[in-house]
Amino acid sequence: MNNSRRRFIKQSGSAAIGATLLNGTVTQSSLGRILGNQTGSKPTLVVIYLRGGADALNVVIPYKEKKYAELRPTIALPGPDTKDENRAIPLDDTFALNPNLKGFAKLYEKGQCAPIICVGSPHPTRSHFSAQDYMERAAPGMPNVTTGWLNRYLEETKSENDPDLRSFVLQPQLPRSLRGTYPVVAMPRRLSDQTMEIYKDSYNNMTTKRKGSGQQLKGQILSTGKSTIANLKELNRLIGQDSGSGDSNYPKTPFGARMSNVAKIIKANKGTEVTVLDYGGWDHHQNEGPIDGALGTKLADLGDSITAFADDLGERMERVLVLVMSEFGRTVRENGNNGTDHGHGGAMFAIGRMISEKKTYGTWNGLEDPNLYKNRDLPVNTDFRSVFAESIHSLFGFDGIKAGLFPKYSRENQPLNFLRKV
Amino acid sequence: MKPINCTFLLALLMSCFLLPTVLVQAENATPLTPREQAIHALNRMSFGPQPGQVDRVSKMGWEKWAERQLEPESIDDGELDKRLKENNPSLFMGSHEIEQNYMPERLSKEEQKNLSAEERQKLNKKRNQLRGKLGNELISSVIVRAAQSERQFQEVIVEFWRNHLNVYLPKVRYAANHYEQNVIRKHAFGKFEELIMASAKHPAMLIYLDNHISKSSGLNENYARELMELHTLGVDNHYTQEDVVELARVLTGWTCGRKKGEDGLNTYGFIFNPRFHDKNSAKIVGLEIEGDGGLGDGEKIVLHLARHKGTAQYVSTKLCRYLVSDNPSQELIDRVTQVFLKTNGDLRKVYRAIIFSDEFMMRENFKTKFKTPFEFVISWLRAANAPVKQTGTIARTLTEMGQPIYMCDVPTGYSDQAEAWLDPGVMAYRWECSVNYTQVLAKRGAVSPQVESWKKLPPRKMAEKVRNMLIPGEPVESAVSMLMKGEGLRGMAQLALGSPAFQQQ
Repeated sequence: MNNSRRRFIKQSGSAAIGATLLNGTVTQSSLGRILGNQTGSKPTLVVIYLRGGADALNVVIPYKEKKYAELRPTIALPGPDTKDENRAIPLDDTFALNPNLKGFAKLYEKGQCAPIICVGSPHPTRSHFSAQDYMERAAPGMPNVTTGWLNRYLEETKSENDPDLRSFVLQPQLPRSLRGTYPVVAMPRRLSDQTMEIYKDSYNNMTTKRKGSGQQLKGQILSTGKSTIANLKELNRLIGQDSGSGDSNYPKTPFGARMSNVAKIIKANKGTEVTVLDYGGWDHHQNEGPIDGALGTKLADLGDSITAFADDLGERMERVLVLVMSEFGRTVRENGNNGTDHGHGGAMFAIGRMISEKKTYGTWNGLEDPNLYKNRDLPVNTDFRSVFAESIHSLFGFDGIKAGLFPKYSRENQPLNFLRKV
Repeated sequence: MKPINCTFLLALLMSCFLLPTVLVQAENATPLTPREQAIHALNRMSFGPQPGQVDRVSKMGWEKWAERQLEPESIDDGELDKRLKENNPSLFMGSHEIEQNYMPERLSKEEQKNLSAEERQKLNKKRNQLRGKLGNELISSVIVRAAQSERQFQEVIVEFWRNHLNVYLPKVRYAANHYEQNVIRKHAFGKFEELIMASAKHPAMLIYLDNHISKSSGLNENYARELMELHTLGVDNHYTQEDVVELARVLTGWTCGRKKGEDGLNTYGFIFNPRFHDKNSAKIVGLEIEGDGGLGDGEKIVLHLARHKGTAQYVSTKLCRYLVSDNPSQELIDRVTQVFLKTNGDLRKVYRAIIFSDEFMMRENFKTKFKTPFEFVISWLRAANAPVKQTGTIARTLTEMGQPIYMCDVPTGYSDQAEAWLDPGVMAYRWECSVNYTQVLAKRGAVSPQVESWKKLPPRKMAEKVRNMLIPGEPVESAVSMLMKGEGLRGMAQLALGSPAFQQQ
């Protein structure tokens, strides 16, 4: 469907390299940049969704607040001013990072990692399902909006020459943010070319009738099957090759492997704009273990995988933004079981070389009771939609608010401005 | 051009536009043929037809078959029970017996201290083995029963409640087998409020959602929230965050521990611990609790929630979605809700109201549901009449497809709507599964002699047989021409199982 586009890209790309080579000024990085730009490789948004409501307060820690340790007698992290070997890593005068995120701290020092605090949904729900739903559809309190916000972006900006891998996920199910009318590839694993051959003919030749019960569903299954055949072959090629380099720095975990595979596809310049990775298991009602327990182990995996990804992509991170989010934060007070219950305001991370300033973004009110939401949670001072809007504006130059991508939402008076234009 | 021609042309033009809609309506208005009715009943009230079953049900009339399925006790399942008792004995054990058989001997602190490193390792290994065996017995029983029980509607319904009252096996290893048998299966054809009460008082649910450690001095809201959001009222339906906290308070003390059972044995199970309990008054979803009725206060509120009209609506909607259509009509939901309320949640009557509604057998609902991975795998085991022995392989396949048995880690359970499963990559797994399983079956010679004899048939005849067995709802001509592209019997079976038709029910 996009042969002519591919051919054009190939030619113009090699012509540019040829010219540079003649000038004799080519270096490894400028070659990369030329390839990156000239092959039409788009900027890429990588969303990582922590399902379960990650405990923001033990990830980005307000270490100067006396109340922090008071309200969390068994699960507070030791502050950076202590001698504890597991002390938090200071970012500025107010905040420190969980020690498991040491890679993030290094990126922060380089101005490539932006923590965003007290961010979340204006809707008060504390249900995992509703909160995720509203967030992924960027339509808090609007059950009638049924498409994912990333899918709406893709649909809104589609062209006839869209590459097949413009948006993909490497997991069995599409996250809700990518559900909708725009076709997104979900490829959980490799499938042998041989197996695909068995079904190729029957799927490509089969048709559906216009009428009759079950015909609509049959049509959906057929088109799913066809795109599976087309895309899997391509993905097999990309992920299967080049397994020697880059891999070794990733943690040997399922998430690490997925990040490594995402990097391979981005580096192959297939025009990928959006991918999402789901990461489950952040609902720590008991024995939270922020250092070496349940939360700590997960954070280390998350941090190490993303840091390895940023290293792997190197200069390409000028055009790749990783956005880490969760459906809500958790109660400021720990509960009766060394854990926390569902809260309100949470935290996000933006990682990339387009971060505008080295600082923590968002408004902080402190942990005194009157400043908490309903006397128990962090407030939401930044609507998640403003982060979403700024991300796609910075990466793709697309003004989602103006285009109506976010129903019933208008521009904030004071946007975060955490990203430069790519 | 004369005016009359214009009008004529306009009429012609209009009829072109209108015709398709009219036709669709006309087509959907045609009642299903007896054969189609049999296929539909077998698709929705069982995990798919076995060889020859469509003919049998269509001959006896689907209603008669459904009547029997709605009264599972009337169907003899003795042979399967016997096999389960041999291979999956833990399902039939009390908590005490499970402990005795699946936990290594408990050592005193002194004894533990004196263990050498080697002995300790050995003990750990033994514990893991026994625990693994216990989990495997549960998972394999789910697969075997779904595939081979004669009480198919019971299995379909049990799968619904297993999902509605989801627990996560890795968190409740010693309690899940007992939960499956004594909560889900025991009450699936009883009263809704008894089902909910049984789940509320079972260690599997109390531990899974952390209520066993919730105390007046340190509340845990997890179970209280999900009891209202997922088990009874539905999300943000009739309750607020204040209700969640109040309910959590009333349910403090609902925990697990050891007590003497009726058999005089010291058994781990549900207990009410007054020392954990919040004795204050509370108001939850309109019900005032005076406080310190102890266990009784919690029981009152659980019943109040189970009997609430919001619960009747929510549960009826879910059941209609599961059995009839991803988007059931509001009229149907309302009617079923009325039955739910009038019968005080008599589930048997609720199922009956759905199955014998006009909507259930309407053509517009025929083949319109996309099978979940579980339904896909089980239905093809049934269609191929495959011996269900290697349940480990089947369980692993389901894990890869994103629906591992008893391992949904979110309390929501798995979605029963196509939207959640019909993802772009979904066919990759199903194709791989179709290819692998047909190979395995062929290698083991595990195909019935009757099917074996089809190998000698000419391709067309063979394709007809395969169509009748695996995709009986498909029109003969298109099915046969598709199947004839496959090489031999195995090739045709692979094509049928991986075809769109086999994913629909």
